[in-house]
Amino acid sequence: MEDRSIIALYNARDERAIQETERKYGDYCMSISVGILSDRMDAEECVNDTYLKAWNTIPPKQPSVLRTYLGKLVRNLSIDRLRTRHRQKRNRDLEVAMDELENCIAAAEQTSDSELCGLLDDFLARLDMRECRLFVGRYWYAYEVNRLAKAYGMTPNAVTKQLSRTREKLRAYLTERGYSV
Amino acid sequence: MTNLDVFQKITHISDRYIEDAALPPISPAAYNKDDGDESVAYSFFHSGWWVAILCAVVSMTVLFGIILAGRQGEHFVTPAGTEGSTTAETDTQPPETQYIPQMEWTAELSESTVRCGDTCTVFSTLTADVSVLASSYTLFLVHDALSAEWTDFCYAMEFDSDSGSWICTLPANAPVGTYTLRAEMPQYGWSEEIKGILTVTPRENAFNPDFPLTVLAGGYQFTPLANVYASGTWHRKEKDDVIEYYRLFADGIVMFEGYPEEEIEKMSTIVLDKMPEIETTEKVKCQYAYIYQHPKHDQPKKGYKIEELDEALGALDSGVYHLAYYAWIDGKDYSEEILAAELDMEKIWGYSNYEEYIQELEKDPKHFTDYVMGYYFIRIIVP
Repeated sequence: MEDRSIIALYNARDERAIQETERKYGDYCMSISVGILSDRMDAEECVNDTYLKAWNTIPPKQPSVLRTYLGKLVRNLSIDRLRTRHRQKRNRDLEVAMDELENCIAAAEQTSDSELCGLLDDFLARLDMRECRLFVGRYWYAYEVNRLAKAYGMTPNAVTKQLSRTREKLRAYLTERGYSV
Repeated sequence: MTNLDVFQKITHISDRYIEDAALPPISPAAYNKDDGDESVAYSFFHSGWWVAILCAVVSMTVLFGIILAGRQGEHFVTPAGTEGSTTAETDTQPPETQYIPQMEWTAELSESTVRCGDTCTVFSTLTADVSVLASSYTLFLVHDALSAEWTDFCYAMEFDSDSGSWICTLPANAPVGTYTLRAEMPQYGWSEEIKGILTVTPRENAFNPDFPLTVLAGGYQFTPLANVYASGTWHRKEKDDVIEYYRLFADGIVMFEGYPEEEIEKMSTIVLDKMPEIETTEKVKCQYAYIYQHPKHDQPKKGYKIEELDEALGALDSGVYHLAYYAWIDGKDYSEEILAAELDMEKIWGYSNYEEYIQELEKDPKHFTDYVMGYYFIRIIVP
């Protein structure tokens, strides 16, 4: 079913909206949540909460891209759930990614969410397609380095080096704009 | 602020980057179903299975080593079809292990010509010697002339599982011309394309220049825009020390000078509220600009996204430069109209003619930067 038809179901308060959302984007949402939580049961609960949140927010919201709208919801809910967990039970690979990101944008972390995302959008627009995909894949989707390497036909070492170079560029980009630690 | 807070702060980056970076979802079967509330890694390392697997790996390695020792010098073919060898030489340079599947892709469009804003449907089949899910590859429509430089004009298609087809609604401001259909499966480094498969034509516009439109914006009532259309000049509105300019192009495009973007949002809403006879308004924005040296117009131009323009202008060497704006609206290129409006605006600002304007620019080639971001457009569509 096309996205606009699914959104029409939400607008009509027709519960088939949730079934269709699950059918079309269930795997996508699950993939994001498992990437963050590394736990199927927790992820399933987050994905169900995502459907509920979509139900409660559409309308009035009319997302132009339903998939990423759901992706953002499930990412936020998964991070909220992760926050309540004991640190030792977190995924080590995710911890590494989060530390890398934090070190990279430490200078701008006090800015508002929208301002930071605006800066990142502008920065990402300057990258070539693969560099941009790797950065977003690693730090938005929390894909493991090995998975990115396989997807883009690179060695894990090459992915790690590329990400490191991109983080350096981002640091320089933020410094140029007056953000410094 | 924790690293988790920082990680969460970037959730709302642009959809296009999120869409673009998505890999095919992992099969649900790959998730551990029985690990309760423990993480996959956590449960694995506490289950004892790793001891059994480690033992098996060691045994297999020893066995494989024994077999290999008896087959020195034999040749083999890797899955990718390249010839390798088990001699000592290749032990130091192992053959490529990533498998590149054999793929056969065909695609057919429901219509070979569509208008801007219309939906395009593609029936695509991909056969391969590996299991390929419909969602494991992606299709894009890319403008033939713009693909290399401007990825904004690369439109991703969406797979509709009900009809088994791929669908893409082209934006109203998509540039007209021919498009290439591109199929990609980045996880295998595979892509193929069919050039010139789709022709995009301008959308018909219902704008009637004689229609007595009045735009209410920011509490001001502007003069009937039909008159502006007739004269083709900037109109000035002054109130409470605020000076605003607006100008109407053909086809219902209104160009406003000096408005911040949020004001345009507000303006569109006001127009809709107050003017029931107007079907809708749509905010459009100048998308690209070229910078080239004056008067050497035949020299290669360099294109920039509007967001990048400030920085590009700031980095120019001394000299006189010319700007040409590009805004595709309903598939039509409005760059000439925008440039004409720009030059007219210079007259309003006190230059008596174009030569004087150029002389002034020679003194300060970075002159543009103050106001270049200030042009916004809305499109008025009447029923």
